[in-house]
Amino acid sequence: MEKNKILRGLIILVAVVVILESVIIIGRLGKGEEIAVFKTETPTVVEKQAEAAVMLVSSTEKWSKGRMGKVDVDVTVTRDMAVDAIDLFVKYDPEKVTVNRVSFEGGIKPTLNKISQEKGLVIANYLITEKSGMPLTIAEATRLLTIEATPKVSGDIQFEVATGKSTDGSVTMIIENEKSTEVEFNSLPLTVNVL
Amino acid sequence: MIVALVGGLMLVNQSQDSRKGAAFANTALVLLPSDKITKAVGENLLVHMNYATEGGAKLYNVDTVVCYGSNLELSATESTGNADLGYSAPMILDAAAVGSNKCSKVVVLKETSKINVAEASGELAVLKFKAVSAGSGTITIDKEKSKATGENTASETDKWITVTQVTGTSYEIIGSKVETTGDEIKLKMTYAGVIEGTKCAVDWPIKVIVMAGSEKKEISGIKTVRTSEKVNNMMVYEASFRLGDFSGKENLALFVKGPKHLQMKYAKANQEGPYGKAGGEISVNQSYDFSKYSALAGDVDLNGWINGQDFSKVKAKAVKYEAVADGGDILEDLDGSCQVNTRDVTLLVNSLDQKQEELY
Repeated sequence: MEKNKILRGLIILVAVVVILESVIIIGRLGKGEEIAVFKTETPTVVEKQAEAAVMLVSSTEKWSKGRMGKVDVDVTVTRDMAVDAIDLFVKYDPEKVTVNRVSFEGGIKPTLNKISQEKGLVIANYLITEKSGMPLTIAEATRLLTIEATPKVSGDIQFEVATGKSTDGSVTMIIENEKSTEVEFNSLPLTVNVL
Repeated sequence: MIVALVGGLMLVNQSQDSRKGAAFANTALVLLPSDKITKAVGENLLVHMNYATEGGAKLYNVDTVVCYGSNLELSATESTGNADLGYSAPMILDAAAVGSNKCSKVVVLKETSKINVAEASGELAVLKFKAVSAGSGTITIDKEKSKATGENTASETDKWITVTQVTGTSYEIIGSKVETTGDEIKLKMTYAGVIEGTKCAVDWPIKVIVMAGSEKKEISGIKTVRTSEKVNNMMVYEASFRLGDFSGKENLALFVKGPKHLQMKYAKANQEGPYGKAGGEISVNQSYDFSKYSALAGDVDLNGWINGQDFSKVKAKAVKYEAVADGGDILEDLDGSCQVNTRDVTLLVNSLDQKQEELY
């Protein structure tokens, strides 16, 4: 009888302790939630991927030596964005081809542009003074320029967007509005076969 | 029974303690570059604050204390956050000094719109220091005062990420890069766009590389002092410097770089445009006037080129008309007018145009 009383007392004591500890733990959990500044969402780990492409496309079906052909340069993006600047450098071999002119019909007009036959470069700087930058829309190609060129020789000639590290600063870049950061982009060289 | 009860209570208590201090997720905070940064007085030091988490934790916010020597000043307005990952420009506040070191509280927050963009490691912010006096020291992160929150994969409720490791960097500020001995060269120059009445183009420092054949010497932190003279409406600045142990006496070329300018080659007396040849015609212990060939402004990311990125940085401040008090300096204020505005954007475009004409 005496033993049962002690046992009952202990059970009650254990129950009280368990309840108290539960209250303390729940209280601390509540405090834990307060330090969370943002909603609990599972973030996705993302790798830096190209978000734009600068494409060189020949709009001339057959290229012949001594006859002018055209290369369009377009930019496409994988998400809607606004850009502050595009510095475009297109390389070519001046021994094999002469760039006669660059036109901007149906596209945006650059702030500065230049053809350097000596260095084999077409340069166009699009510097957007609008506060909100220039919008580029997903899956919609924006024409940057059209190169009008006359091959000097037969065989393969190549046009290529200058990318990566360059010692002379001739680096193509797309700069996003507000952030002033470079947008990663892809570009493939264009090889045309001259008859 | 009593022993079991006491044991149970101890276990309950132990469990609570371990939860409170649990290191469910850790992160390291690292200052880069890890190599010693060597700069001259007046130059800027860009220090990258990077993180690397463990166990898949995603870092959201960091509240830390960065300590550095009295040779440096940390800019509260020109330090930047890594916008790609959604980190805000750091909030920088004075913190209690530690010994002879100055300390600043640095808080970087993650934008809620970028909460899903997270990487296990990356850059949080770039801290911009200015070298104000010669000397050497370290830039450190106070681990004990560092706190971080984020996504802790081990717990849905505990948002603490423990800063378990911090790595600092070191610097040396050279004041004596301005030589006090040897032959002397005096020059006059103009900064493109700096006209009469500008109050924030004060004592702009230049760096000069002197070349004679294969001999080369770099002298930085040379003060340019404004005169009352004007050329093409631009204010003329004077500078003089000594060459120390440089042995060349004739046929020197000077490569002069202003604080937000492209490097200009000055190689003959009264030069008015690009020199266009190798070598030069400068002699020691002479005075030269290069004021008709102005230093081109616009290299605000200090990479040696003017491009779209510089344009975007100047434009970002120009649209806000960011200003500073008389005598102050904003890197993007190219004309020293104490305000970044359309004129600075135009100056940059003109510089780019002129440089491309010279290059291509």
